[in-house]
Amino acid sequence: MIEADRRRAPGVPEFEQLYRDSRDDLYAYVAGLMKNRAAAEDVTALAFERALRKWDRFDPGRGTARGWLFGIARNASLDELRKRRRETELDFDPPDERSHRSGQADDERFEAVSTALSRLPAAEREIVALKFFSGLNNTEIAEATGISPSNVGTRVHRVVTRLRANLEEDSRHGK
Amino acid sequence: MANDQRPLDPAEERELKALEAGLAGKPVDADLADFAQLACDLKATRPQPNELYAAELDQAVADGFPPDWSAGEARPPRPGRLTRLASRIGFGRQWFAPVTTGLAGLLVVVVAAGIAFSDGQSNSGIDNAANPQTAGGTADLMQTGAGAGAVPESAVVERYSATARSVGEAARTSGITPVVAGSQDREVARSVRITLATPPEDLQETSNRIIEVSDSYNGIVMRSSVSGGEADGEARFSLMIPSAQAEAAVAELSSVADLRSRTQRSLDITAPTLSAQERLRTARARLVSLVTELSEATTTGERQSVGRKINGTRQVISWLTRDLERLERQVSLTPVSVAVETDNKTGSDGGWDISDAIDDAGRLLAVSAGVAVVALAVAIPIGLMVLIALAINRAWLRRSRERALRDE
Repeated sequence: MIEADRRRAPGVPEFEQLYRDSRDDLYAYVAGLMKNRAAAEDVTALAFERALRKWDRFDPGRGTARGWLFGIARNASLDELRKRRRETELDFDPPDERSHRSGQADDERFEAVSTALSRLPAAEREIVALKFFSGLNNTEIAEATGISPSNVGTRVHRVVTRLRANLEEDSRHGK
Repeated sequence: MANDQRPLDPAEERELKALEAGLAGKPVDADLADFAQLACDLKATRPQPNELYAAELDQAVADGFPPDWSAGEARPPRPGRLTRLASRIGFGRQWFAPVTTGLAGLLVVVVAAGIAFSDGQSNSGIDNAANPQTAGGTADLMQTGAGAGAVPESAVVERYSATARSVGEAARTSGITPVVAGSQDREVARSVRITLATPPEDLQETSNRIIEVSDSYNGIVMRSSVSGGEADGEARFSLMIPSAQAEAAVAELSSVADLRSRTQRSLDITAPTLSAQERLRTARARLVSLVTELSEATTTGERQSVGRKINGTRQVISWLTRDLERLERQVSLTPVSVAVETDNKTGSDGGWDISDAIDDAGRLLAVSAGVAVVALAVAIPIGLMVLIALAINRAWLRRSRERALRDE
């Protein structure tokens, strides 16, 4: 059995479905957390590769596939952040032009939100990425991050509150 | 994060629901419209993968991430966790094989040393490697071996050469009755145990023969007993054989019936013998001195005092003399214990039958169980250490990840 066939043993169609459903969401989460496009691409690919390798160990009884996948991606992202922090500072990319055009907000609003978002600490930015970029529900966020589902809502609210405060502050200062 | 534990109040719950509604594109109350708008704005800032990358990733997933897969630029294969850790501490892959081999060898040496140490402890800690004469003196009797058809067991020779104190200690702790055989320069006490097997019907004849052999070598039968029926009879003899003839007597006793085992122990008692002799000389010299002192005593008090000292010294001389005689007896006479056992196996044609098979199976199981216990004794601590190390590593990794998120 060649390597590729071995890797594509039973359950791979389900994984491919998970991949199709989650590819952009996962990338959005990782990019939102990493704030660097190249790093996000590497980590996203690595997360899917790890997930495929561990797919036969995934236990649906212990949670959703998306929560499990995002947990893998989270670990890969944080490992990458640790590594890059040791080796070099991570360069932050400017906001994605594609996403700019795909949103409903105008340029000014988009810039304001992006700026306010970038001022959030990574832990809060992660919540935004999981909730608003990737569209995970609270249960999936809890599975991915290891916090309790009841606390997810609290954190989301707190992050949004801070984000609104940032926006108002930026607005007052004419940013 | 203490705020995380605080439940949301009703107003906050409404705001959260407005966010969810905004994400889902559902209408919200007018006073919460800005929450819904913010949710939409956040969603609009969602990063998107570029099309080329997405296409490459699609293909990689379809191919099952082949080893040579790379996104955009060539990516070296990701090393394993152990390799990454090793390289982080400057430990190259080329060292893996020799170091792991060395560690395995070290483990084997440690285990072997532990077993050897354990064996040494079980032999009363006696070390006589530095006593070639004793070793040589016992070598002949070591060459016992078992007769054909017998079940041989290891002959044990205990040799000892040390100070008087350690010899005495060894004699007390070994539980053996030392006897016989002196060599030219050393005083060596030996004891022999012989186990013979004979058909039940030959038990009495074998017992008689043992007595005859003992008599022929001027031996003394200290104790003897013959008991049991045909199936499970046994006879036991405690003999004292003059050490000069012990070797020949033991050889002849071993041939009276099938030899099952023969065990000899030797004890070098040169040091305690010399010590007893020296103390005896000293005591006698003191006695002579005290007698002279007594003759020169002028008062009754002096005479009484010296007289008491003389009595005490005589008592010491008596003790030392008995002690020396006991040591000399240990050298001049060798205690030989002979046990004669009977069983149906011996009474049969000597072939290997089902009961032999059961016995052999039992022994095999016992040995296997022993090996398993030793293996577990080694494996369990190592396994526990590995598990602890893995748990520590896991906890450290989790903390460092959370720290990376917190410090970002």
